[in-house]
Amino acid sequence: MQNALWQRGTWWPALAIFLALATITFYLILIASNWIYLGLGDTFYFFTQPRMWQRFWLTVWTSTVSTCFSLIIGIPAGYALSRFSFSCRNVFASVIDLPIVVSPAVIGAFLFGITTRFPFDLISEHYNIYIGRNVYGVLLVQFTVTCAFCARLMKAAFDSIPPKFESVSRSLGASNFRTFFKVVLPMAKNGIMASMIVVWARAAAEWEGLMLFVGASEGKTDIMPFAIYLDWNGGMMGWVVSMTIVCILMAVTAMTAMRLIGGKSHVW
Amino acid sequence: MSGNPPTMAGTRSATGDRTIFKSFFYSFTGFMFLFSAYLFLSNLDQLVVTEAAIKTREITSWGEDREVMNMFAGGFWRDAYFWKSLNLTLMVPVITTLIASLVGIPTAYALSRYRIPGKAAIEVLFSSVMVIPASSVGLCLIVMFNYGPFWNLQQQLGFRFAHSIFPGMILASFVLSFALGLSAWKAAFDGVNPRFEHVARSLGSSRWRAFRTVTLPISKSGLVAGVILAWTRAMAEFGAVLFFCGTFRELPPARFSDLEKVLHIDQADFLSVAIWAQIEYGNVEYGFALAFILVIIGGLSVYAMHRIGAKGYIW
Amino acid sequence: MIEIQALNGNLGGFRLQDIDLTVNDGEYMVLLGPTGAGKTVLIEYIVGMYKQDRGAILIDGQDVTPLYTEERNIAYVPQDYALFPNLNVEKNIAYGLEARRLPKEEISRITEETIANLGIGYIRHRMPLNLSGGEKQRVALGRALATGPKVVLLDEPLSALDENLRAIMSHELRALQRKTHATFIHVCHNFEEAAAVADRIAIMNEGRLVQIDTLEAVKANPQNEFVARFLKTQNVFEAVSDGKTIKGNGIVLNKKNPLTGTVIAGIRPEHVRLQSENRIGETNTFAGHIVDIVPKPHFIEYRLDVGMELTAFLIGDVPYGPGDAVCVELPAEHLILTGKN
Repeated sequence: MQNALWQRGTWWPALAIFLALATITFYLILIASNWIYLGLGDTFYFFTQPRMWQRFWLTVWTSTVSTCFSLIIGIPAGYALSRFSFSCRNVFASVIDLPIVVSPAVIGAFLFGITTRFPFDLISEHYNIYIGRNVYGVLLVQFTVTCAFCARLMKAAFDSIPPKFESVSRSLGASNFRTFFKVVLPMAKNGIMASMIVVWARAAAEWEGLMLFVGASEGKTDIMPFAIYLDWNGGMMGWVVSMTIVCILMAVTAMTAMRLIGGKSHVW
Repeated sequence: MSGNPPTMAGTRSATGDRTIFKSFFYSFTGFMFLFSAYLFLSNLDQLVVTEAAIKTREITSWGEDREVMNMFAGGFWRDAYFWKSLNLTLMVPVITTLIASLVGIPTAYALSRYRIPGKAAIEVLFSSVMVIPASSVGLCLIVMFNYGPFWNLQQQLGFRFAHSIFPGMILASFVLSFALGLSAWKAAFDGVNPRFEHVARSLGSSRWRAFRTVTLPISKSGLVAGVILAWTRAMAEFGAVLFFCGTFRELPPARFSDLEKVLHIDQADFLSVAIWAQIEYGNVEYGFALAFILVIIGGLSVYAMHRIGAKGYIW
Repeated sequence: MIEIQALNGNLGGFRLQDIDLTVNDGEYMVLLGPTGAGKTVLIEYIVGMYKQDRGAILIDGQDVTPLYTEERNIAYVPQDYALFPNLNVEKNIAYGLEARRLPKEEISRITEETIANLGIGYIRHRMPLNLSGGEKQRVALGRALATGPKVVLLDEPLSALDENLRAIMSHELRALQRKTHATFIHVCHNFEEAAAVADRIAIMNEGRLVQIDTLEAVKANPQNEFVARFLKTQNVFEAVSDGKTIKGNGIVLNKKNPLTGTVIAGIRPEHVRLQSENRIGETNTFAGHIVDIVPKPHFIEYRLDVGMELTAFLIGDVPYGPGDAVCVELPAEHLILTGKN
């Protein structure tokens, strides 16, 4: 039998499928171990606590707001990156992508440094909005990380539409803006929706940047990923595990929704 | 009189429109570029120790410690911890990426080519790993190895997964980097027409030979991009490593194996963790110096990605 | 010799049903059928891409269905040729030989021979991306034939080529087949292309084999209406036969035939005759007039009205204009009759 495996060259597909199954099992155990640890009764207990839901809604609204801001910047920026060619494009694109490739903890440190500077000090002086250890800080961190991510995904979404449609539309006398809103946006709709969900999920998963920049205050900035860290340090294992379950459920729901929309979301 | 041909007017407005159109879209890209550049460059002055910081340290630190901390960028190059950490940060992601590639490329091939039941669920699984918070990933690992199914296993094997460099740190950086790399590798294989392999096999190649001589060379650039992606992600890992391994700086030398001492990675941390630890400790200049090193490495690798023009998708 | 015995396959939405086909050694068989008939799928079953539900595929008496593609010793040229883009022309041709681990001298000898045979020496170091359609086709053929296969499977090999090249290449295919004595199975959807190369034709429709025979036999005796229409018989109409006469569409034709009841009658346009003098009343001759005249490269197409629409192809100048009354003869010997499905 083993001989047949080597001679007939079946070892390669066998190995590939074995590795695929092994990694899938690993990731499944990774995700399921929380349930195994916590048990159904405790999961139910923690899920009925108001503290859980308060954090959940805080996560949802902050990531929704920051996703909106990211989309406003990211969609046009992604379109420009996709369609226009300019010199040193790779350099510009690399700088724009830096916030997603550099460790988010580093982003937190840099944001910590930047908020005492030029535009931010003016904002806090004149409008009495202090961006730092409060929910605005959370939004800024989420925005910084997801905006670059969003532009990336949108660039890929626009890349998948052949530019000939725009040429046809313009040749028929439509203005550039009309072409963009009537032809490009509707065609990219699915890709944009799929990417939007991914961006939202990414914003809801942001934690590292908050570590150095925002810090924690219970009930104000403890969005779920951060709350996991807080309660872990507080030794509240039940809370930690149940919140992890919620985070995983959020991620899985978002990804399922993305699949159902049918768009594909390219990272690169 | 409407003698003017309408096309003329249309053409003229279209050219003007093009400029406005382009500058409208460029302004957003420009905003992002400036924001990103400002974010990183404006913090360069954090490397220089200010009067206020020196005064604070007169209260908080003592002796030679203070001397070094008051040097430019916290005198990071004089610290053995820095060099060991750099060693570690260059070594561990390389090992992780190597393992991830060896496991991930066949896995991506299987997922791309073979009919595996429940493929949609598998794709949701791997893509959601990419958007699960790093703290959750770290916690999942902790629960899996210290509270759950693998506890007995590691007791029997006699070494610990959590809070260790060799299995632990590699495992923590593996989870996300594998998921991200897998997406790129699968995209690379999806881009190769399976017909090439059918033809190669009809010409007498075994499946492995068909893969090695045809699919692998065709998808090469995509695979390399996936490797860079996985490496970058492993390099940038913070949350899972902090959760699963903690910090090693304060641990006694007895905790480290001889191999780790020979490789000069004992009592060292992942650079991203070191940045956090140093800034929390009050050694801001030191932390930012390390941060800039990470930024440079990240910038170079993302530039390489753009040059290759890689593709990867969240399924 | 390939024998396909009662092959049944289901590919999620597409089914092959009871395919029985025998291709003799050194025979050029053309699988003909409209798009979606299952020709390519049948080829892919022979290549070994899918597992069949029932039935067997035998090559030289050996059942190959449990074998992998690489063990079947066939050569497969897919529609897009699938030349390996990472290898140059020479390496592409040598690929199958290297896979068989032949000695180096042997490989280079056979490669040289193949290159010389196909006359592609001038592109031997080029990459497939930079080749024209015809060059790609030659390289793909060379790659397939270099290993000396018994069976060559060609999936629409000519459809990516332009018209002139198609004619040249079909001659070359035929010549190559004669030279190598290999068994060729060639898929196409074009009757003219099939006529140019085939020893025998197998016509497929909706996952079934409809008729297998030589070109002339298929033309003269189409199995059913589908075959008749697919072979461009045109002038096809439904009629009622009583064994001697065929009545339908307002005309009565005389021809002895074994069929009774509703039949499908047809006549190829090149067999329709136009008579100048008035011979109405003779057997199978009818009065009509010309509706339209369409000049074609090698003949003139006439649209006629004799109570029903007819098309006729005539060579050379015939002094008629649209609207002229003519006398149309449908010769009994060229009349095609087939039962209604």
